Amino acid sequence: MNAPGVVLNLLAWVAIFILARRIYMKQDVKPIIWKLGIVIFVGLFSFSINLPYMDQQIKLAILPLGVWILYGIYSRKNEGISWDQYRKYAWLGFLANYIFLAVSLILPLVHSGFYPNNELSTYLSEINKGYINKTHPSASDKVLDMKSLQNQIASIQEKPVYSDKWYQTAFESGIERPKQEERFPYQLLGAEPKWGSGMQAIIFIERDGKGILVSTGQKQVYFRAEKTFLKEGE
Amino acid sequence: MRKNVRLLLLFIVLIAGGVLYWYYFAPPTAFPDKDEIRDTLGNSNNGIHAAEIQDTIFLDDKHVFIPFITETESHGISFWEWKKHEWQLTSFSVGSMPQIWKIDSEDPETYYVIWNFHPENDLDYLKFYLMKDLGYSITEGKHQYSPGVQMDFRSEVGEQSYGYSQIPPEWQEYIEAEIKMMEAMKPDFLFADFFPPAQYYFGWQSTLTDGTIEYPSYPDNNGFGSGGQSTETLRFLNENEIYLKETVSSE
Repeated sequence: MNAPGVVLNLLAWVAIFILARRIYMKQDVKPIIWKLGIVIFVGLFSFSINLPYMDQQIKLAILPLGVWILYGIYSRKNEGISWDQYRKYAWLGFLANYIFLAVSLILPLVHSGFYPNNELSTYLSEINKGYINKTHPSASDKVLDMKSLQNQIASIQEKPVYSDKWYQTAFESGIERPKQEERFPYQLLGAEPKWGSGMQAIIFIERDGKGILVSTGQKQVYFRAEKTFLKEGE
Repeated sequence: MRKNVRLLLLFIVLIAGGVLYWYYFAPPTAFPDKDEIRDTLGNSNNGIHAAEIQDTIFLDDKHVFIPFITETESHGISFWEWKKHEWQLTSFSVGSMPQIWKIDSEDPETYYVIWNFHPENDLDYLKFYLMKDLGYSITEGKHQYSPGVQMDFRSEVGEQSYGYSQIPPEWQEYIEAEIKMMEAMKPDFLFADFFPPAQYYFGWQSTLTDGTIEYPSYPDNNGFGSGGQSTETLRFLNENEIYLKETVSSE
């Protein structure tokens, strides 16, 4: 669960509710409440463009498609009186796109405040039930050395990902593609990310037992320990 | 008048509820008998002339695997599913084409590899692979390294020409992590966008009783199949397509 995301989205809906209430209070002829809800919802539909922002996509609404649809339906009813009643809600729906845009602008900042991207504890906070699986046959039969990992976990530092170098090293170990040794041949499982971060990552462990490669949908982070935290299995 | 309207509404709701239950929740009826299965396989959409229905294997109470042999001796597999109050043919393949059936694609515990080979091929055992090719990318200075994945498990070929196996826990755990990561990437519920396809794939290899790795090509008919999103034909992997640990002692 992405706690900051849930909270901010909730706030956005509360804001929309408050705005809708204000419009409603000022109206002399009250519209039907459930219809009003649907109008706001349909008003949300828009033609939008995607823009990259902090490792993700944000949506900038441009054309109010929902408002046009609603206009098409309501302007013919009751000689336009219905449209007068609902117009503001339709536009509120469209405006809501920008409220959500604001959320998606703020969210990464808030999120990285609580859960820094470059700290291992964000991805590995509860490791007591951790274990590794071999994901490549070039790995030797090792197991997780829990003591070593726990002793070091606070001091493990982020290091840059040298994807091209690693890729080339793999080629040096074997000319033929399938003969290459994999640099990250273990998957770490059973570890929990920090509560409320909503982080879903695939975590690979380096063959020397010192590197941790964390891939979330958005980005990849690499951590390097001083001592190995893998040991020979029984 | 108003009362009548209400009654009518109640009636409609009841009917709709009944239909919904009937369609989606009612327990499955008895599985069709062999003649009906043969008829479905042989209809103009599928065009399989089955000479023998070998078995009826319930993977769970709504999903059934049926191996069969055609009139030209090809061995085939077919997957049947209880859907919309009907036993439907979901997918099939004929010839040496093992498939993976993702009964619930969100839950890798329900993934099965399923096969059927002509006994003339003299198979000793099969090996199934979960593979992901090593790769990397750098976009706008952002590095992405994607480790190569190769996991396998072995299935013996026994008396029967056909068989199935749930994928092992290590595969399940890896796929689960992939699925969860993909889901976290999906933008908000309202604006669900495209879903990038998975980068991993499934493969297989067969070892003959004389120890060689070879594709089981007997009888030399064309293989063909049809299926939906829930099935995938496994890729036959040649010896030079997989990593083999050189120091490993032979089993």
